[in-house]
Amino acid sequence: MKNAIPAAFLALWTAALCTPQAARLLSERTGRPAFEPFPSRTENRRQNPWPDLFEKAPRKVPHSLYGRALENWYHDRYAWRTELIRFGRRVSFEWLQAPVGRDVPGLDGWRFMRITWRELEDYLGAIPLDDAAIAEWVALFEARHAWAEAVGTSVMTLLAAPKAQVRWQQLRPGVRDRRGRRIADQLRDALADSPARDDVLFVDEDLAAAFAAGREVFFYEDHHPCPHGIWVLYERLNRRLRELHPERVGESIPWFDDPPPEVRAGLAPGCWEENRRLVVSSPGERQDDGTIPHDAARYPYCNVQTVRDGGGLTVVMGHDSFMRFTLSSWLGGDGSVRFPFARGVGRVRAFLFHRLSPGFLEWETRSSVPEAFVEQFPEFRLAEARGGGFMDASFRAAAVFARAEEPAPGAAPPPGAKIAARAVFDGVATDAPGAKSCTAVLEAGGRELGRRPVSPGFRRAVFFDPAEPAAGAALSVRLEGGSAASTNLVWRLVRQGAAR
Amino acid sequence: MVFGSLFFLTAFLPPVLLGHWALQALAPRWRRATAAANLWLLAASLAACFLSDLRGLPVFFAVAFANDLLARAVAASRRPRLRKALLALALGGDVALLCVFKFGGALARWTEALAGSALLPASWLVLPLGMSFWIFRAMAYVWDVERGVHPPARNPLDFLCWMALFPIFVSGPIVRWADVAGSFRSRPFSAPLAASGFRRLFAGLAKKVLVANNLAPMADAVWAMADAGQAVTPGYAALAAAAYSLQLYFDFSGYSDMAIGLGRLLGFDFKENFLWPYASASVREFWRRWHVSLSSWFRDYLYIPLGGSRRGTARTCLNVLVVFALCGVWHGTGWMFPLWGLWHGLALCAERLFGPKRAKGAPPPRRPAALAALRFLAARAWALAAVAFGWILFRSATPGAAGVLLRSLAGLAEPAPAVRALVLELSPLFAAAFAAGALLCFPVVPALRRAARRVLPERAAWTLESLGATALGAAALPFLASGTRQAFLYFQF
Repeated sequence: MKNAIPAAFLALWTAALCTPQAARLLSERTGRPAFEPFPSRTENRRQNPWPDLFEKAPRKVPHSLYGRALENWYHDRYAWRTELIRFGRRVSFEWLQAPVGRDVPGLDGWRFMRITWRELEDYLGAIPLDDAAIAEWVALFEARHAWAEAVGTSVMTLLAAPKAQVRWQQLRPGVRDRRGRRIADQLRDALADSPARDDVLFVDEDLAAAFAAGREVFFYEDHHPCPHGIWVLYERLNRRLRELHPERVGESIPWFDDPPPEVRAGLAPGCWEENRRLVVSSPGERQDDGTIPHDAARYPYCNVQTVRDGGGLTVVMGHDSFMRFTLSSWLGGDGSVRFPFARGVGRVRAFLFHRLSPGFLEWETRSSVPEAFVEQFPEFRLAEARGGGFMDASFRAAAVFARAEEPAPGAAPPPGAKIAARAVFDGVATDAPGAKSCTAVLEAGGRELGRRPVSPGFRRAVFFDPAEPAAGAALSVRLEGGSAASTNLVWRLVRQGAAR
Repeated sequence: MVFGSLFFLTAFLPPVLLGHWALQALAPRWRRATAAANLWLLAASLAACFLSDLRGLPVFFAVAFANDLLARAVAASRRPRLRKALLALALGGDVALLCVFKFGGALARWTEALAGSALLPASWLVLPLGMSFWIFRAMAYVWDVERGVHPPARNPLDFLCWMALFPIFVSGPIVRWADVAGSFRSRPFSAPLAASGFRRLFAGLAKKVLVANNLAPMADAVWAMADAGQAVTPGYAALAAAAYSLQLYFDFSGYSDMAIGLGRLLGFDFKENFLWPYASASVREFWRRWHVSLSSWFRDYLYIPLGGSRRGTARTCLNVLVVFALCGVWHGTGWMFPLWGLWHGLALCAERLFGPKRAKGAPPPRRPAALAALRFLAARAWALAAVAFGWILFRSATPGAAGVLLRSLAGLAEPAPAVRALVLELSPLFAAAFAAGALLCFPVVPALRRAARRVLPERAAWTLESLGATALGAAALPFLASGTRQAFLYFQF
């Protein structure tokens, strides 16, 4: 064979390899960028810089990594890269229905998630909790219940049902037909006879009901609830707040498909969807971040506090993006935030990506006690941590206290019985100025049964490990290194096997 | 820097090729054009080393210079005992150095774990990139000089260029000096050879990017469970074993295709490294077709010097076991690699002891067609099963993980709940990659090529094949662009 055809192909292939760079150089020379810059805005990162071999520390690239850094720099400047990636993803994800990273394709362009956001693993029943893990979560919710009861508040946990649990219709048949028992079902069963059963809010039925009524509740290409879905979640919280404070919590902010002019103008309450965002009109509500601790949570600049004219309940929320994503821009720079809480809620303190640790609860009750604490996270997160990780020694004892039996009024601890004791102090102050804590000491007939650190603050509740007081000995509690305006001590009988 | 990266293909390769072709084109008019092209190639190869990982370069230079020097000393020596002594010095030094870098890190970690302190920090003993491959080439070079297969390279820079040659530096093939020495003397530009190089490069790229990478998630997911001690269903275990067998073949043979293609682009003609190994009728045949450059290295420089098959059955089996255990050790530091090697050694011994025996040169016995077909299938099924079993050992991080997978395969283990999530890996893309892999691991393409050449004029067949290669390259491009750096599996060895 003559050389002409191979030479032609050789020229074609060499040109094909060189073309993108030539195009990029020409584009830059002419000053009219013809290519979408890479990384695109959705990648949420800066372009890789030119790796300077002779740069001084700390920007110096280690010599062993220089090649990698140069490749990264080059890849970000490769012409048509964005288009090529889009095309590659379209082929894999849309045409050949293959997962790309954590994204799993569903029907009609719907997207679900796995790996880091394990909604599909949960749907399939692939990440069940063992009995010990379930028991730890139940203990946590019961401990919070006991603590809330002691200080005069409520702690509710909203377990957000992820998209796959509610919009399973859009899963591919091979996945849809393999539904397993989800973690939330395990927890729901375990909480059936628990004093904390009403503190854990499952929202799958609410979202499913809204969907059955013809409303879309999730974005098709994103894992967050769409505006109506998020409104349903807040409605679930409003319902619970109304149950707890029927006198003080009023009507919800209504949903409008087509809001009237006075609602649009912010003169009347109402929620509606605009540009895929939930717009909340709540007259008299404003954002006031003055007392938000800016060291709390992963994204402190996203923590917000809203207040309403006329006051009302204070709600402190530790939540993830579900409760916030469609409400305002991620960085909080796109106008002020309004939460669709019902009338009667006067102050909302919202902490993004934050969980309610004992320390945080104590911090938020240092000068007054909010009427409600809300924690929200998706169901599958139950598999990613242990409930015990959110408890300190006092909370572990609180879990025992919650399950313990209340004695008859005025009764003394029976001989040989184990008791769980709780002390509530109002107006705690330390003797040494600036000291972080004093110590609560539980005694029975002069014998010490236990001690716990107590930080100064408006109201403090401490729970002591189960103990066996001597027969006939009177229980008492005192503060060492501090004082309290008033003290309240109660005890309960620990049933056999109740101590965890 | 890996072959399957945009940077390599579009930033590094074009200037290297254009410069090299320009120098090749000057050859008829300029006497030193080939030497200049060799220098250009050496510079490009060192740049590739620099961009890949700088840390191993001092060791590489030390090995290259020492082996070249000793090979010249061997060639210059007239006394056989001195030649042997110099050879032993070279081989001993190479093996010792390879052991230090290959196992020193692990040894340092073990001693640190046991005694609380290591003699040398493990971070000092980072295995230089591609050392397992280039040190085997150096050893073969000195040995061949001692045996008189070829003289030492005339120009030390040619030797250095061959040692550093970027298409074969990182993961082979283990190209011997005798096979390329002529090309270092004269390498005129040939458009058909270079064009066939591009075709091979695109085919290798497609094997890696379109088939191997899309089979990997299923194998990775199942082995991740096995590593965590979680059993899977027999179906998933079998699917993962098959997927990994195909992934490894398409990954490594894809790499070899790219290396061969790059060689052709630069005027070299490297030998084939994979000859449809999954079409083998025995494990013995498998090793004549799989990673040919490595298996022939072990045959020529270890098995035959140990006595080969000339000293009776028992000694032959011992030699086979030693060679395959060392072949396993060459692949890595874990326990599973020697186990894998021993498994293949045992399978070869079993074939030698219990397999059909036929005198050399004797015609195959005549059998009824049905029986012959059954034998044909049974032999291939045995070979495939034995090799796939071996890959389970090869891929597993620990004997425990391999045990979990083998028990899963036999249905003797209760599947963990996490097995339910494996359904997410079953996509049309995986099915397409699996089907393509299962079909193309047999010599279907050569058969199609032969058929095309029978019915089409040569030019048309060539053009059709080139258009096919262009389509494969274009199909691989969007997957390359996504920037996920998928290193070739054999880089780790």
